[in-house]
Amino acid sequence: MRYGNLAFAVASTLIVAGCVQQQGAVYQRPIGEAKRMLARTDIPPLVFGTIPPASRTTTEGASDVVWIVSKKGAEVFRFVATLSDAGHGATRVQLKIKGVTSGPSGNVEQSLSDHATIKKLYLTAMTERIASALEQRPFDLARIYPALGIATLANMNAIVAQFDRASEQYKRSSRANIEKAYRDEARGIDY
Amino acid sequence: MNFFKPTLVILAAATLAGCGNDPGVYDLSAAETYQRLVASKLPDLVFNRQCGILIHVRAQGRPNEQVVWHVYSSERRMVSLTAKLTPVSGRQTKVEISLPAGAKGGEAYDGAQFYPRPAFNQPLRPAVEEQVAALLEGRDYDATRVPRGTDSVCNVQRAGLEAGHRFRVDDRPGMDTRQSAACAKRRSAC
Repeated sequence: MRYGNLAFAVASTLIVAGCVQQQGAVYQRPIGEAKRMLARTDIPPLVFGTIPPASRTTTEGASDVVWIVSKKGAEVFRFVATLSDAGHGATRVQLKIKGVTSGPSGNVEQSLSDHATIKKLYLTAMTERIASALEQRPFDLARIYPALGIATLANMNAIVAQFDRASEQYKRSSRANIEKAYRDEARGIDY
Repeated sequence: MNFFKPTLVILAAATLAGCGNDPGVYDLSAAETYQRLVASKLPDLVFNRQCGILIHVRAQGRPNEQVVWHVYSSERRMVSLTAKLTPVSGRQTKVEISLPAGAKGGEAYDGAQFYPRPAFNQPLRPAVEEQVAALLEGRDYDATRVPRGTDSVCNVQRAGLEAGHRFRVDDRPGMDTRQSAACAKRRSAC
């Protein structure tokens, strides 16, 4: 029963977060000020790995703030925040994520569609990044825990496979280094 | 009926115990056992258990009686491992492993010894026994049957070797071969 309650709470949080992302959250700041603040905001920490990817922030048209996330100089995906006037000096921010469809990282848009939990995690994290910037408070990692947990569970097989691959690669490289040391010794190559 | 129960249990246990060989007994003649062991340089033991220094194994034997593997590094003998062969029958041979005494009592590389430039991780005996068993049973060496190495000096130097550093048994303390050589060239306190 306790697990049922927990699952319900997590599901409710995600549904609410999903609604916010679809309709956009409203912040008590004029649109011009919100846009300027977001143009100085980085992508969220941690969710993309301990080494954050390169990113740059730009504005497009009158209403969009765009964060372009790239790897080795090539775009992987971008967050697009569309700002609109919500009246009474407030601004509505609707967020989308768009993956590239070709290039060194492949069809990222398709990958994001195939891994909906990861897509949700990225959107949740970026939404919190935007909220923390516009509300002038620290980024609250706790707000992305439910999405992070769901994404981890949903992708556990892939995560384990990734660890297995990394482990195999490490073993191969270790063995190669040891064998090279013996070859060098046999050839009289000093270190 | 109750009277017979303990007897039945003992009989059953004895029957089951008889299903496998005693530890160290292999279904091979002494000659075949000797041939397999003396022909091996214990490659899996070396790869799985070596530390940072490079080691080389040379086998020496008394036909059908004993095989001794001398382990060298930079031509310095680090340790010798002995397998004593005793025929159990024409088709079975008992193999007993022995290692030299350790400086701190016990035997070499028993887990309680300290070596500034260890040749093997400790405890070594289970790994030697696994290597011998793998050779005589005609199977792969199974690292999961051997306790993990507990020698932190070995673990550090092994990590260095895996990362491409090399160590010699006569390197200066705390240095790999490259650092040690650079230090010697400078002829100054390092």
